[in-house]
Amino acid sequence: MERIRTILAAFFIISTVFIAGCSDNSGNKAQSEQQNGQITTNDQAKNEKESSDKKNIKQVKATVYFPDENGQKLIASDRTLNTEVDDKYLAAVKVLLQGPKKGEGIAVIPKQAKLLAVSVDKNGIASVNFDNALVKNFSGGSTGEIMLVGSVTDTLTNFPEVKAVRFLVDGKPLETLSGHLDLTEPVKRMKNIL
Amino acid sequence: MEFKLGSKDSQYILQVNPQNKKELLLTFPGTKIKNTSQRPITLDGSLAKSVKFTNENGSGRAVVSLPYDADTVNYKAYIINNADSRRRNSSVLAVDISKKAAVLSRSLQAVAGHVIVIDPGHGGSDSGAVGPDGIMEKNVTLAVAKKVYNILVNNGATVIMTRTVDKDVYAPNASAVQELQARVNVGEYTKNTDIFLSVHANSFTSPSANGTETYYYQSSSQGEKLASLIQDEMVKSSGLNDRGIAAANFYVLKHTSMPSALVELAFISNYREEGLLNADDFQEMMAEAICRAISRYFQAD
Ligand SMILES: [Zn+2]
Repeated sequence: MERIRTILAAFFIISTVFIAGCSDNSGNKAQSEQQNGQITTNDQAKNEKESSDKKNIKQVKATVYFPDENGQKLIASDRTLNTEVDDKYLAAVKVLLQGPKKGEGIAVIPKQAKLLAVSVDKNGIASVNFDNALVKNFSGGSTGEIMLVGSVTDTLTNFPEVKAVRFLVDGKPLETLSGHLDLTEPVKRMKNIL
Repeated sequence: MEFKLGSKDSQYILQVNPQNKKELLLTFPGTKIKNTSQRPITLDGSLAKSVKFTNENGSGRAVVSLPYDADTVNYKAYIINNADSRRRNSSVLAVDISKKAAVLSRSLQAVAGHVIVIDPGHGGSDSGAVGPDGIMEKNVTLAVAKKVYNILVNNGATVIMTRTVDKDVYAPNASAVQELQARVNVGEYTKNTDIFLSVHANSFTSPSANGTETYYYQSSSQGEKLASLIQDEMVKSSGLNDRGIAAANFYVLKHTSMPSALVELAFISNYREEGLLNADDFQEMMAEAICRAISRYFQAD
């Protein structure tokens, strides 16, 4: 786990600098190195960069979504994510687990659920891996299921490079949460509840 | 049914029990019934289940239990004065009960000849959502689905249920896809299935969430039409919060090839609606609403 974290952090430094350095954020690493001569994979250079860009690296603005009280729409809330340890994807989903502030809607992910990992592949498919407590403690029907899946999906797809979200439980694909939604394919942004 | 009265000019009142829509009360003010201790008389059950005699507040009363709500039948009471009763200084009171068959079948006649698959959500190892009082979604969905089945069959439709008892359709603790696909398969493998309807009760983290909603699959305009008719009829009957219809990527909607809809009758996680979902008359009302909508769907076809 510690190792994975370190790697994620390293990758993130590169992509953050790249985003700060050019307006086209297609997320292509090779392209970023080409366009921004300052970035190399050399550790020393990276460390120098890290200290000078410390503020940019640690804080990323994001929008997170919690369901309203009646389970009909998601409420958008702005957050500044601390990405010192987690990358922005992991940090954003962690905000959902922490729950909303007053007036931001209600918490929908079971308190017992643990978030194991969030990753985004080169095709823009995010994978969100929870432990089994997510399913075991989930009590929602159709509405609960739509709101939980929508909350995670719409929060992650709000990063323009994320196109869809795949749900995993203990590393295995989740087919459905409570017997309604078909989760066997990555879920695209759920616009009809925004 | 006929009641032999000891007096020629007995007064009587026939009314629906205001506390129980499934009972007719035949009250004789100021008259005592002699044998109230006798067991209720059991009838064949098609029009009336039993008759029980009581004396209350100085009035004799016959309580007629019906297998349905009294407002779905015509009922009347009248004295038969024949030669025999005149001679014996007694009379016979007749109570006639007949189904409002004409009204019922006219509004539902369009279902005749159609093939309808009804899917009671969850079941067996999957209880579905559970309400604050412990009412389980799987039992509510089965009860309502059975009522839908009866109404549709009585009106000439061919109806297939994905399950008729409390069990998993595929196997206990199977994967979600196996279980949901097994339900879809009932629709796919039944010959000429016209529509597929899945019945559920809703649930949400917040206990205040309430109301009725119906889902369809995005690309199905027929499914959308079916959903909108069902939603319309359910809300008209129940008066519950109208959450409207919505497209949803639900497994059984996505994988069925015929028009389909998934109804969320009410919220089992809401204390008040949990009580409704568990009540027989609410279940009957929603079942009737769903059937009227199905008939309208085929009418408009
Ligand atoms: Zn359900």
